Amino acid sequence: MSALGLGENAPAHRPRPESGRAISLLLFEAAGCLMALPSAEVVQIAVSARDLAGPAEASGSLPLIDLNAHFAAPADAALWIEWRRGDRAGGLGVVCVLDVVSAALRALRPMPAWLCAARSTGPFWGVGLDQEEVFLLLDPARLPW
Amino acid sequence: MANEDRERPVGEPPEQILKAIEQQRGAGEQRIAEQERVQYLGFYLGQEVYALPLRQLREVERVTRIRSVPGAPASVAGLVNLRGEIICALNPKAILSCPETAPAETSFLVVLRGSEEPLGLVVDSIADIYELSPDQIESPLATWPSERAQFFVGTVRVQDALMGVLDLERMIAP
Repeated sequence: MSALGLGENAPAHRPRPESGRAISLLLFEAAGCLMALPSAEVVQIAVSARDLAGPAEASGSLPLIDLNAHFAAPADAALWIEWRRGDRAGGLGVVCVLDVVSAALRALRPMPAWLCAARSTGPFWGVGLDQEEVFLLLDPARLPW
Repeated sequence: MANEDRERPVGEPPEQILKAIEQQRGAGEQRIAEQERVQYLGFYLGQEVYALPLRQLREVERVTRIRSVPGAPASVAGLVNLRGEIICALNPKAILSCPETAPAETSFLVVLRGSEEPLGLVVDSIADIYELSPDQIESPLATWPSERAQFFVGTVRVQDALMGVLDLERMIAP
């Protein structure tokens, strides 16, 4: 088994004590940075990009972006995350997948203005905290597929 | 009438009156200047000393970890978790076009007060607190290029070094 299904029934779900509305996030490392995206948008995780395309995509090609290469980081993708939102889908190359966490919506913050001004940080829509670590919220829809 | 005579300095030559007014004005200005003395935090960027008014600063913390942001401009060092608050840490060396130096073993985060979102400056070390009056601050050096000079209120000589007094509003305008 080279692929791990996640979707909405994410395993290893780690609840947080915060009250109020929360979102389940998949934490991963790419381009020397801790990133997160909604686990509900994660279809599967595979060690090879070839394993991502399921039966529906067998005839077509799933667009792929290695986040390390995209952000000009030296690391290579060791895992691939299949992302899907509605009819949009793609494969994201990452260094490693760390955890699935529940983050309180009120604890998430928009990207600082200093970072919004840079076009290259456009795929990030916010920031959050996992214990002591700062993570960036990735919106794959903003990547140049 | 006698009282009126005492209150009116009849017969004093105009030069003496003008001199007295001048002296009073001078003393007043001195008092104002003393009142306007402002405390500044001096800090090092490499070998150079810079200063910001203490009233514009919230706190100073030793930096334990700065999370870099891929694709961020050089002026942003990264993001810092400061007791649960995410601070955007700016790199003043890049903003001020300072010469490249090896990163300090321990850096400090100078957290700013009153900015719309939490902002801080990563500095190499803290120098001292200085109390300065406006007349001590001289214009930025004429030899500085305008892209550097725009971030300075001026310079002050402290001990043997020239300390750059920074214009924070200009520095943090994205």
